Amino acid sequence: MIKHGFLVLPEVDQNELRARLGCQVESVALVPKCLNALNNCVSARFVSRFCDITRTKNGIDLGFGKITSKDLIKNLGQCKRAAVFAVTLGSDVDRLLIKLGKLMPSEQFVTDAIASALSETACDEAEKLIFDGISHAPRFSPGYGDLPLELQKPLLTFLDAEKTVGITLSSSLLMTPTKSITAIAGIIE
Amino acid sequence: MKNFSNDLKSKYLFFDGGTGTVLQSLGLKPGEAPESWSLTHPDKITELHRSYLSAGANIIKANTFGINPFKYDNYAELISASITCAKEALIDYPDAYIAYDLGPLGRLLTPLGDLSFEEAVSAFSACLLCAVDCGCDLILIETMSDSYETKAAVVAAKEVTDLPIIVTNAYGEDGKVMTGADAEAMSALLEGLGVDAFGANCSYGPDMMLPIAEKLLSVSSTPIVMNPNAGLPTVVNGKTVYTTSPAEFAKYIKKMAEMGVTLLGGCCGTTPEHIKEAVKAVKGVTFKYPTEKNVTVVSSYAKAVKISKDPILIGERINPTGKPKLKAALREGDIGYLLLEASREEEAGAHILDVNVGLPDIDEPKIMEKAVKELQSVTALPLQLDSADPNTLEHALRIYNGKPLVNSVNGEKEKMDAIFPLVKKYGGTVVALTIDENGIPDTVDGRVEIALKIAAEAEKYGISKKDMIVDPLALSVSADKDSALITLGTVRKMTELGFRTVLGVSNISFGLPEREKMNSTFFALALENGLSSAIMNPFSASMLDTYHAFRVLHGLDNGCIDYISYADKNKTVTEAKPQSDLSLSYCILKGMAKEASEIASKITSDPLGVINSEIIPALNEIGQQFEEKKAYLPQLLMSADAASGAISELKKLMPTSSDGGKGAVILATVKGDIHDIGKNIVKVLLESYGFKVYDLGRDVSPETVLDAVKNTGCKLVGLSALMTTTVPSMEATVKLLHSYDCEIKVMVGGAVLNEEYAQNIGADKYSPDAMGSVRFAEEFYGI
Repeated sequence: MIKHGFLVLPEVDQNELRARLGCQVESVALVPKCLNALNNCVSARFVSRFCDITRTKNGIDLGFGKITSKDLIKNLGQCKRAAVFAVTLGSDVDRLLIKLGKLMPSEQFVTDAIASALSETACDEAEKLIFDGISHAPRFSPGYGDLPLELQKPLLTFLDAEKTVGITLSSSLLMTPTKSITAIAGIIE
Repeated sequence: MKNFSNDLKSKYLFFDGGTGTVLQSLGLKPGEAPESWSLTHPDKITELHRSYLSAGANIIKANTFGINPFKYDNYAELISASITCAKEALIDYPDAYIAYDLGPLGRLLTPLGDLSFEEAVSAFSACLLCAVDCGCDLILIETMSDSYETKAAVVAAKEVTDLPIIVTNAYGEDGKVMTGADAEAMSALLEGLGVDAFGANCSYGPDMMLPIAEKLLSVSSTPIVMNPNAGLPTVVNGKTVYTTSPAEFAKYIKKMAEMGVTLLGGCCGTTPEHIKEAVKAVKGVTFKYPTEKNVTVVSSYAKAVKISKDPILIGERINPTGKPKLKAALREGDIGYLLLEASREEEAGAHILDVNVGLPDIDEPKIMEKAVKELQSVTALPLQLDSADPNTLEHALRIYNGKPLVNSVNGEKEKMDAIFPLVKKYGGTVVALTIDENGIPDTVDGRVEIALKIAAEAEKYGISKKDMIVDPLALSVSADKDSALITLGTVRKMTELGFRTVLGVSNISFGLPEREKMNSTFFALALENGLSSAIMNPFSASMLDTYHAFRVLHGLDNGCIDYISYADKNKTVTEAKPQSDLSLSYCILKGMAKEASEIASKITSDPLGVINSEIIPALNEIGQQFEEKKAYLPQLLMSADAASGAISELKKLMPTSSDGGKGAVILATVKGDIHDIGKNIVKVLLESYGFKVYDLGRDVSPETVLDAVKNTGCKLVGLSALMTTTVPSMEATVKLLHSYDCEIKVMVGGAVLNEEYAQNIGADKYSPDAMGSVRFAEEFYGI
């Protein structure tokens, strides 16, 4: 079952933002201005699909090919099912970042930091909608630990992500829109 | 004999419905690609087509939607098998049509993605050549969610075949396609390209499509297509089910037909039963071919701008004539200056931006193409592509994402022969100058005659007068006392004849002092005579005053809302601003960009002394704080911005040839990587420290970096990469540079790199942060 839709985002998580900026949020005078411009561009969406976890000889299968990542297998523990999902802030955010990169690099840096923090916030909101109170393992993404980036391709196909939320992959496996996250999270029963 | 263009004009045409849902009922597994069945189960595909034809569909979509060279090496074989299935089905339905179904490539085009416009055109062309070869009746380009990819597909189709072209886009709940264009912008683009019909498909349920249909019908003179889904998918007993029943679906289709949609059908979740009900429901609805809308419109990737009796301002600042700084920037291939100017024009209130990069000693087509690509990544305004060289115009028209204004054609035979085929092929609204082989007539009637001659010639190419704006030419009134009167008379006459007009207003005051006084009065007179657009300086307060006042006085600004907001922002300041007592070095240290520029702008002598005594020490201090972790990257960047702003003010005091610098650095984000934030940070810092930066942008091939080294003679190169997947192209770039000249020094940086990794790929220096690159550059140049 593929489920997709818009996300209403709360305020960006200040701890997450501090980590991205590398300093106290209050000490960066540009934050309010950048936040305002960014909010006008964000159109957050998610797509998710539940799947059974099939355990094979030296790996697992979630319905889109064999995965041998030890880190993911450990993360999923004893879970029998998982949710696979993708979240994006939309392509207008990329347009804003490209524009700022050419005109105001310091604003690009700050806006990029806020957008990255906000995409984590968007994942948190998506999880609320996807799991609806069911307890689940922390999300795990391609590129974390030994889970290869190459997994993005079958994962996004599995979610029909191009059509449902507009995420595509470049030749070097970058997601566009760039402020997008894919993840897998096991269901704890 | 069937004849599609006759059918299109005389009756409702029905597309078939969904493929995936029906094939799943025939045994297609979830995740299995429908197009693979053309080879493995051709009989089932033919059966699918037959079931739609017997339901009453006139056009069947070949099972080719997902086929392209990026997804399948054997794309030609798949296309051929799919069309064979469709032909097989048509044996019993000879009056029906086979549409070659062309879907998105699955990769996003620049600037958002990494696929170039030409790569997209080539991929589409490869498919289309096979399809035409196999024999289809028309080309359907569908489910496109990017205006730029849509244009690439249409251009490819026009280059490959004369078959009819139909385009349908997938719109989101916000009424826009994924990359930003709304229905009006898509309509401008597609009517400009001259497709035979266009509209929407997929895009949620039929109810959500009604407002899109309404918008398209209100602006388009071309037949409109609607192929909705059967509602939104839900899951019942583990199976994906679409919610809209055939009867309910048919109600919406009937409603669309009554609104004026003439091509109807279905997308995801629709079945032969849906189409059968739809055909039945539309019987008895009177066929209405769309009326001629006579709208003059241009568009960008995001929006359409109408040129009508509510006048439009075309910013004239991106033009090197009389601007030494812009000239110097263009000669160096430095587009940054031009982008800032564009952004300022947009902020000042321009609706369209004129782009002219013509200089005698530059490669104009190449620079124009680069400028247009860069401009359309920073501004949502439509562009006016301005060049005397048809080859330059073709380069720009081809890669422009939208329907541009084209400046210009005139009454000379040679000019019309060169320009009209380009406008016909790529779409555009063309500016027509009232001049021909015999010069500029000095009477109103003479100029009107040339305009009508141009319109008649355009008509031969199928370019109607709504896609032409007449420029009656403003000439210096100091040289001929009647010149303004002739121009104004021509504006009035052309307006009476139903043409739109444009003027380069400021030419009127050439040779006179205090030109703005003359320009704004002439502008007011021209507007009163019906002028629909003006090429003007959007930074001129008196011109904007005239424009805003005119709109109020002519009842175009309801409630004076625009005027009030304009006046609010531009209150005449009577009291003097309090003098700031902050020092330049303090403003830079604190990252106060505006204040730093203000202070710098008041300095009148010894710019280099100020840089050395105020700016550099402040930068050194913040740099040191950063290295000691007492300041952080945002503060460092804000200081660098403030310093750059102050330096560009001070540079006004220096001769143009001097870059005031310590040496140059070439910067690039490597091929395949579009994360340019690290590179931009390094750029800002290097520039603030007085280095000259050649910024090659992102997704840059090794060859382009080497070319830059050759062209500039600069032997210090900085490369950034953010992804493990793009480090190999960084390595390739380093190798290429070193094999060309081992004296070239390459510094590298990026999230996935470290000292050891950098050494492994042969880099000369690993820079852990932006200050590191400044220090290395200083070392390189012995500073």
